[in-house]
Amino acid sequence: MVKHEKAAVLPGISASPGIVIGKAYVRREDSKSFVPRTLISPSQIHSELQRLRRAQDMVAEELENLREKIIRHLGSSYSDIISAQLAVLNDDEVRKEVESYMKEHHVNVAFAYRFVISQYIEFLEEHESEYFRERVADIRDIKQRVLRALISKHTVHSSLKMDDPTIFVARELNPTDIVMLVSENVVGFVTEFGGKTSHAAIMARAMKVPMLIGIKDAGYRIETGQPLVLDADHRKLIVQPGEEVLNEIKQEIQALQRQDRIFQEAHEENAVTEDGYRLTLSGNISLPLEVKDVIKYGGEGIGLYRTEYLYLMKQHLPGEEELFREYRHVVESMNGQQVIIRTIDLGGDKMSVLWDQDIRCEANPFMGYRAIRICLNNPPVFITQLRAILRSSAFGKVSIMLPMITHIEQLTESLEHIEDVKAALREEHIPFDESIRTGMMVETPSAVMNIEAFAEKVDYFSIGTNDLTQYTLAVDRGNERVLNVYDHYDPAVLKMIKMIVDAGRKFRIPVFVCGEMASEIPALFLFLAMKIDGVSVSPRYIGSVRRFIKASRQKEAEKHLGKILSMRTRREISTYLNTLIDKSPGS
Amino acid sequence: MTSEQITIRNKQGLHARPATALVNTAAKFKSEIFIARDDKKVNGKSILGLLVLAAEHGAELTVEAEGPDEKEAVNAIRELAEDHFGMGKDS
Repeated sequence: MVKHEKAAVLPGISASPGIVIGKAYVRREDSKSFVPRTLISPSQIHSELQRLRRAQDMVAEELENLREKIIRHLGSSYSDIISAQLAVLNDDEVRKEVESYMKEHHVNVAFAYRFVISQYIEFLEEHESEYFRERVADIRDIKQRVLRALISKHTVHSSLKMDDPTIFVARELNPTDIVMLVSENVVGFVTEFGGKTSHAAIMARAMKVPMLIGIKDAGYRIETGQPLVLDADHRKLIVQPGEEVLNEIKQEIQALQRQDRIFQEAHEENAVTEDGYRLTLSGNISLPLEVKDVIKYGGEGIGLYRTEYLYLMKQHLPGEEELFREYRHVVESMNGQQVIIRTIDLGGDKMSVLWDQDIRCEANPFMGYRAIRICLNNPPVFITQLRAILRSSAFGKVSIMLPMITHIEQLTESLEHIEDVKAALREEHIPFDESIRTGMMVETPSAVMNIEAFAEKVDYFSIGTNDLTQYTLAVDRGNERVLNVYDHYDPAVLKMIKMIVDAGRKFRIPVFVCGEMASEIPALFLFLAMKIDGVSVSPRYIGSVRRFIKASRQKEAEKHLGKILSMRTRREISTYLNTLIDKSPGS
Repeated sequence: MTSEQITIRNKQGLHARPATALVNTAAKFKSEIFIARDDKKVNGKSILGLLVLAAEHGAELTVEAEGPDEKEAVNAIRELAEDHFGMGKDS
């Protein structure tokens, strides 16, 4: 190792937080150009076919392995993608075609296999239905695995015998890659492409493995074996760090780990301010496997269970039983603590392959066909999910939450569906919690301006600060060019939040906050000042939120509220809040 | 030879998952099984072949079987298609 070589710092986008040190493993995707073409004699065909058989067996074993890991981490409902891959792997016709191609052209088996399977891939790529085209990636994956096994006699799995903690570098990753690699010695992920909301990113966050995306030409700028520091918290990748940098990073990691232990040790403590104001501190999850983190940090229930993942991961619309099994597992794991299940918020940045291509290519997806709009337009999909949620309510404390409500008719119609489903379940003698509560996300300005009308009809509000900010300021939070427009400390946003809290108080229903804002200390100060009833944050923030609340005084915070709400600019507000917090013992 | 017409009832057509179910059912029989659509005819035990048929919702396919258990094979595949390939009525 060249110790004094200057380290390269590559900027990236954080898709999953954390800091890790490891050795690079670079996955190059250009292996197809490596397939050699050699002429063989007819007598060799038999042994070549046996080689193919052995390679396929290796890959089958690898897939079975992967299936086990998926079931262990995610549950059996996610594993049917593997069944389809195995069917492709063991395709009889492919074997026959490979054999006749070899007989006709006298070429080696790897070349013949590549030719045969590539023809299928090309054909399917041209398919008019995107639904079919999406599957091409799975077939291409099988092709890569088989060729790798044939040529290098290694499977992906066996080529990754990594003794040191490894940072995996690839052009792109899929969720199954993440699951498989995390069970090896992979401690971080770096990709050239992919979005923060990609399935792989959701999975990396759920598995708590740091991930940086958008690192240009990562595959060329990094060599396998090179030492790396992946610092997603500061959005940078350090290639070949020097001693000094490494020591600094090690200390930072240790400090974070110490802090994390302290947060975990406090898991039984309530989130109560010094002067006795208590709020509910719960966790947000996207995948059932995150429940254990909510418990570990002592979240009081789940304030937001995002249910899109099962729809995004599957090749078909999940059925009632699948959904029910998943919800029941989460509800039972939380042992009587409240689980707020949000009905699907697909669309916008999350779109399943289940919907037509037309819908997926909307010019304005955040203002388009999404969430409750899709559900009310597809009653069978909505009803299936509602049945599963209601059935799970027999096993703990469940609440329903409706996303993206903009006008009252949507709410009324949704509530009617819920009542119909309850009636049907009663008829069928299927148990559910008769006292189940239904609330709504408040995340559109129209809902806020008309908030009292909604307050009459629901059992609670939960403020989705990300969308509320985006819609209030008319700014796309995914667009870097207008990033400076997006700011949830804008006076307009804070006034909206205040209106929601006031309506909640007037109609005696609790108001929660479940957006990213709730994990920020200045925002927490404001929420305490407004006497919010609860916040729900990503499990990893539960500890720091609790620490701040325990060191704060609600009455003290409240004194500043009038002044903050009368401020004209966001800058004034942020500066004021930061000064207050610097003085407070909780920061 | 036994043959029969089937209709694809799955809304998303005969995609990877139902095709996998068809292949797994076909593989249980000794007979040779072919699925045909218009002028295309593929091996019923090949998932890639079935995908190439690109059978969408409502597509009419012909199931042909030749061998010792051809009748049972065709029956089993017809029932599977009627059952939406085991994916539930809404699929």
